[in-house]
Amino acid sequence: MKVAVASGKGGTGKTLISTALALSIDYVRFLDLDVEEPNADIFLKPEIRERIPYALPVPNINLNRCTYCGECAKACEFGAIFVGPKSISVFEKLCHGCASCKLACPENAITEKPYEIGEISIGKKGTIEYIQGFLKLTEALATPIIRHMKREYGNVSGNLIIDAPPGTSCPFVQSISDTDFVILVTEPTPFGLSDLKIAVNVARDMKLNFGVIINRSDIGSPKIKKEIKENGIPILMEIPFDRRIAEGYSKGIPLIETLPDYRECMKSLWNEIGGRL
Amino acid sequence: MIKEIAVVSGKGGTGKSTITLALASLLKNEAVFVDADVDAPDMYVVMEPHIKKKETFEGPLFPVFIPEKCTACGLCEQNCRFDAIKIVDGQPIFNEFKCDACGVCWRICPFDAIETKRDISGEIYISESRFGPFAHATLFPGRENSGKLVSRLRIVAKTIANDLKKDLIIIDGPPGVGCPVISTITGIQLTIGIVEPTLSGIHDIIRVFELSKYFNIPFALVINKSDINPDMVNKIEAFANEKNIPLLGKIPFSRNIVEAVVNKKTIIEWDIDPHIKEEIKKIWNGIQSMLSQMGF
Repeated sequence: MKVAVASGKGGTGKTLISTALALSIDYVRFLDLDVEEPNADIFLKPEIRERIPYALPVPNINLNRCTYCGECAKACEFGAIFVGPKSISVFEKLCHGCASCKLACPENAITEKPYEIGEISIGKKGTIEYIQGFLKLTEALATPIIRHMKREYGNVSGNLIIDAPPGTSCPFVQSISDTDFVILVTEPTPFGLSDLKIAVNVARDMKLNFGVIINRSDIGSPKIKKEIKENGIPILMEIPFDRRIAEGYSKGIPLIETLPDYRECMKSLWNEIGGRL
Repeated sequence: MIKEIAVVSGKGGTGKSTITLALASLLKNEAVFVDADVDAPDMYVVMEPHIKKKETFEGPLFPVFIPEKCTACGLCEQNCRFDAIKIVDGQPIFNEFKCDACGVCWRICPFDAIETKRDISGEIYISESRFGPFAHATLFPGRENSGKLVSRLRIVAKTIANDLKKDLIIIDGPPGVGCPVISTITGIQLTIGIVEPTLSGIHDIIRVFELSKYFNIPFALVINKSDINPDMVNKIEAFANEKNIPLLGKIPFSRNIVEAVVNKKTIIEWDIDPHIKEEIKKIWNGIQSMLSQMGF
């Protein structure tokens, strides 16, 4: 079963819940796809055995062949190539690695070379196989690493848990695509609700199964819970605010160590999700 | 000169919007406010803006398949690096959620069986609020380009500031360190990082600080939920000290702050521990003195 933990609004408790889930069920692969700010390792404390650089294929211009005709720049939808009368520049940070330029070049002057934008770490914690994506600082594009990780490590026959990035745009969409179930974590505030509604719309558009966990469920407004229900959004679990959770979180202590009762809750949640499918 | 200040955090949910909103209600009409967290915008909830003007934000060109012309040659599928096209039973099946809008498929099709349509990715709003002019946007769910939308939003905010003769723009930034954040902070005058005293919070704020440094933008810190973990607060203070980062203020966790949001009020407007309100004023004074030290 492949389950993504996502949210829309940041800081609602994605990593708290995804790591608690992983630690409660045995034999699971865990993908941290919040590649801009990956944090799951703080809680899972895996032993990393391998770090693999991730590079995008970007254009390599053969200046002996280039006639500065500008066809490559015209074919680039991302503005990553600029061609002057006698010059050509490639802006690697804007390149999506689609090879449109290479296909458009009438002189066969473009090959591809790797351009490193991040790193993938692979490790283990007990029976959890941990894989983290990491975007190099000053690089703009998170989506290519997420897409690559989904392709390379996302196809498992066993259990997969994905810690998704916040937001509702491309990185979120790529992270939750092809999963069996999406857990959306929210908090009962107007901010949480506003972002949850957007995330729910995306999940519905993508025809994905989903449900909601309300974190810090007793802080905020009961009206919000009512509104979630009225929108036909299934509520999977509520986690009331507890200072011990916040303090444990601040030190990188997993939820199921701070409050061990949550181990059984997480196990039943996992089984319940399995039952819903 | 118009100064732009952005509030960022790396990690989500540390209190960017809450603190930006507090500054907004303190500064009333002195600045133009911007919500640059375009894929999960929240400021509008409290700002309750009256939209005065709307513009659409055009996204990229997406392919449109013409089944009658398609010969199922598979060239588009082979050349799509995003797995967005699959030929099934002699017909192309297109997955818009996987498409990166690179244009390879429609450029390469030998039978003109792929046309294009310009996608509308979102909307930009110029609004009035009880705290003054407010520029915000919505990115339609799942759409790409939030970096470009942020850039456009900043241009719109500058136009408003020029027209209304305001010399300050305060931007509520997105989480992370990627494209939308880079678009938010490039060329601004000051980045304010909101950090919570947790290991994740510290890890993430260091990344934003480094990013801000890379773009040569002065950086200052605010510690939110400061009473959650005093040890972590000490660590943040030591880090700020070592890197010469001004620490503008500390705001403790308070259920009243959540209550303010629930009631669509800022923490300045809500009945809250006066000490917290003083801290917001202190943060604003700190910002002002940093700006004046820079010669603004």
